[in-house]
Amino acid sequence: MRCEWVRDRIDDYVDGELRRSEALLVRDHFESCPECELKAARLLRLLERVAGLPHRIEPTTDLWPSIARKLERRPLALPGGRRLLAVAAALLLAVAAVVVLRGNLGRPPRSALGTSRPVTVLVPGTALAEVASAEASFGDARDRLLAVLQTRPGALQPQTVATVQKNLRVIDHAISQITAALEQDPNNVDLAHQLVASYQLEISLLERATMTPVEL
Amino acid sequence: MRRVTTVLITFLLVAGTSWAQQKINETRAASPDGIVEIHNLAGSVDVVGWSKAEVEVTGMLGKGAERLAIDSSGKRTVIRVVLPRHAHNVDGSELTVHVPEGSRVEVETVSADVSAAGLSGKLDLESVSGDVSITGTPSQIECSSVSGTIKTETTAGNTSLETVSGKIKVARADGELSATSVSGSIAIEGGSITGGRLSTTSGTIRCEAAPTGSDSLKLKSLSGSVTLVVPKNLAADFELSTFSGNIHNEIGPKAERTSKYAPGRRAQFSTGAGGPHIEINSFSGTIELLTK
Repeated sequence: MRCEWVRDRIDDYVDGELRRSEALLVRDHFESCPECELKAARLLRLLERVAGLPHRIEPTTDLWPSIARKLERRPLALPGGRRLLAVAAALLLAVAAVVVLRGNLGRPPRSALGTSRPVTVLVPGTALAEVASAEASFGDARDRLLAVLQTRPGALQPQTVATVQKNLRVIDHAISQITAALEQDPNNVDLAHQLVASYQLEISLLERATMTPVEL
Repeated sequence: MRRVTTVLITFLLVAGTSWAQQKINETRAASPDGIVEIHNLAGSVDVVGWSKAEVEVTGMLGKGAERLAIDSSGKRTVIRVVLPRHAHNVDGSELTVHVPEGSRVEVETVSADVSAAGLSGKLDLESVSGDVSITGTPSQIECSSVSGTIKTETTAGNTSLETVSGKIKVARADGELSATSVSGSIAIEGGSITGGRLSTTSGTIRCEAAPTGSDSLKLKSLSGSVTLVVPKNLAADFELSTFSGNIHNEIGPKAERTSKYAPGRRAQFSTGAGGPHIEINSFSGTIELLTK
């Protein structure tokens, strides 16, 4: 079995949302592929870590104020009618793509750029609920990680903080680009995936900063 | 008074020594196929494979670093530069670590550059801003740097390289390759790829490795240009598409408009008897399919 097929399903696997038959295939694959197994374990650890974080931490110091300000300036649910619609459409399509992939054990749907888009059957109520849930999860995870950072005064050198800030800006810019692209091509599943991946990357970068041992 | 001065000078010399760089030279027995884990936040980490069943750490501990900790348990050796809590002005530590060549090596740094050479086991290298350089033929590579450059001489097996803004450069690919960057460029200069995915948001992608095998190869960028250079006689199935970019295709039919009203272009064709499925797409970046 190809790793790609398994990795497309790892999120659902760790969430316990895979169909039993698929979950068994994934588990079988882990026995012969430590890499995929490690990815699943890491994801599980991240989810446990995020879930285990306190819901509210009063920061003792004003650490990372610029990061926090910057992120607060860009709410995850983007403002503005068209923008919000584009993001909602993207996330909806990402969820839809997962729905399609769940029903298709073969190759994942090919590029939706240009033409020949896969036919996606959406269940509006369910998918929309998942979209809202996905958006909320990213926002929640980000807020919690920022709260953790605020509890670690002096943990990172100014250069490291600058690197993290710079790269958060890079990801922000990428999210803006993808969102703008989605406004032009709202049915593009690849872009939807890329948008979700960018959010995940942002979370991953923040998570890495929180897990970095004390530098000074 | 003279005695007091002598004592004071002696004290200052001793104190000065402890805050200066400290030379390191430590050796531990290690399994030929064990795991070596290295943590050094700043400075450099050079890992070199050798034929001895030993781990040797040489180099300099940075000024202000507390100590070098080496812990062995079973097949795992953990090397860590320990810094004092709430210390300031700690310099980076420069470590050269010789390990058995078949070791699995895991390195984690923040700003320290990392190099690995002469290793045949799996490499798992992570840095925030350090550059990563790999030579030799490791069995598998998993490497990420947020803003540093990742350079590898070869890839093998299943390789995964990831950056946010750093560049990725592979001199000779071999096997399945996944390379991802947001704004950094990806350059695969030669070799062969049995499948995988190269993707960026705004970084350019240039791949000169020959696609082989039956798995699909995907090259995707939002706004960066994507160039694939293939041998003239390559047999493969191609699917090129862009929403608003251009397609320059040297080996197949001219790309067609996807719609009378939209700017998209697309080309789908096979060469020879067909073969690996190669998918290239961009949103606004230029796509080039060239021959060597």
